[in-house]
Amino acid sequence: MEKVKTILIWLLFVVAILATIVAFAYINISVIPEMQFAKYQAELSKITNTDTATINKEAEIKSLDKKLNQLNKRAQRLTPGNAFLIINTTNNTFELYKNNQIIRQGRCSTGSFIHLEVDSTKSFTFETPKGVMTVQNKVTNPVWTKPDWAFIEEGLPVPPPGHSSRREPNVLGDYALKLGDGYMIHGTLYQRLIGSPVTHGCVRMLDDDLEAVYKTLPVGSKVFIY
Amino acid sequence: MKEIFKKYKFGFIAFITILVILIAFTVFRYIKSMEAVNTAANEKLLSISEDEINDAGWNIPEIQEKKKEVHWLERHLTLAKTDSLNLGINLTDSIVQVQLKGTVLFQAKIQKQNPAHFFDELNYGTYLDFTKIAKITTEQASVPKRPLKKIQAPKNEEEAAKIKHDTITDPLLVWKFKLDNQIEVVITGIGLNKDSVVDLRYKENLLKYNAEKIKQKLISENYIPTLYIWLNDKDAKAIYRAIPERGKVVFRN
Repeated sequence: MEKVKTILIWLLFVVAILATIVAFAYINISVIPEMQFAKYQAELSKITNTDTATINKEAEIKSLDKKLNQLNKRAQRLTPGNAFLIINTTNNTFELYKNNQIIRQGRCSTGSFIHLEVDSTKSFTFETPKGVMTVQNKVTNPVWTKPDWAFIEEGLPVPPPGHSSRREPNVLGDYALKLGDGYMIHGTLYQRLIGSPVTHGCVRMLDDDLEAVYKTLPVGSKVFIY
Repeated sequence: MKEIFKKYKFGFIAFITILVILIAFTVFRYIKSMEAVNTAANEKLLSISEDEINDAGWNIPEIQEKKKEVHWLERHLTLAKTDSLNLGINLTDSIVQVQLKGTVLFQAKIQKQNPAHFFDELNYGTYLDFTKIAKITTEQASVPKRPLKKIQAPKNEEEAAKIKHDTITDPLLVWKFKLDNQIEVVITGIGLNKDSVVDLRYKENLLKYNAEKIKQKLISENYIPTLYIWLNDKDAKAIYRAIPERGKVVFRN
């Protein structure tokens, strides 16, 4: 009995020491950083002169309201008033806007981020560029002119430019919106892959979504990609 | 009592020694930490003019609110002139947003924030400094900005058929960045647990981040306030990948 009591008391010491270490660790890890921030914020909130009598409250508010009004108008002018498209390349989704309202949203596919290395001097990165682009041209029943990488990734010899084997109809869907530098918004035969990052840089959409985008966005519309 | 002390002398001595060491260390660390805060605050205050610090209208809540809105809009209009995607952290409305050319492209709701009141009680001068357009100076993240997958071009059709396009699930995002106005931001993605329920590990994450800091430097002579933000992981990754390296950030509070 005495032996058990001794063991228990020694165990109590060990527990007390461990609990003390944990408590001090918590103080150092959690409490001190909180106190640091509270002190820093308090220092930065101090003022040396609390005199507010020198200000004409009504006039100041009126002037600020006027300024706010002007700034809001300028800010509103920056958002395209007509139709525009926003593409999220991380989640592979899109939002179609018209008159500042979302009129359609859904899945799309963007660049796969595959870096295809041909040799030490030649490589291709399949990435959808981020930023703002403009719809430069719209076409129905687009024909794909296959670039070099389309042959290289299939392990095929690259034909000369303009060769008939580069032309491939019926693979881009019913519509295409050209964004410049070879990038397009178009359809696909592989509808089940929509929502995944699988393209070579273009934006692929489901047939219905593509039709809505094609009909809503006139040439010159902005396409924001992030 | 005396007997107990005698019998367990070693235990008492060990406990008291550890306690004294821990108290001494914590007090020393506390003093040094507060010195670091004072130095950082003094440096900040010295860089701001007296007139801005003592702006009379700032003490009137109605004027303060309008001034905050004016500055938020002014910063946006300035950022709209650049061609770069930028980040807006609106702590008043608990929103993080990605903007380009004045158009808000994406908004994510802040699920949790620490400190809960981050710089919501500043004088006018320090508020202007806090909300000025800041640039990311250093950053690190648990996932790559551009998730490139290197593939060697196949030599023939047979080799091309063998190429597998595996999809690897990224870990939850932890994105830490420091700004040139001496603020650090840590954005953490919140995932789902096995039952597809939101799995916010707020306290656990916070303790881990603070412990990491202490591990890097036990007693730091510099103080940089850190804002911790928890977002839905999908949203967090979309924002992280949208903002370019050395991107610009603007706060509102």
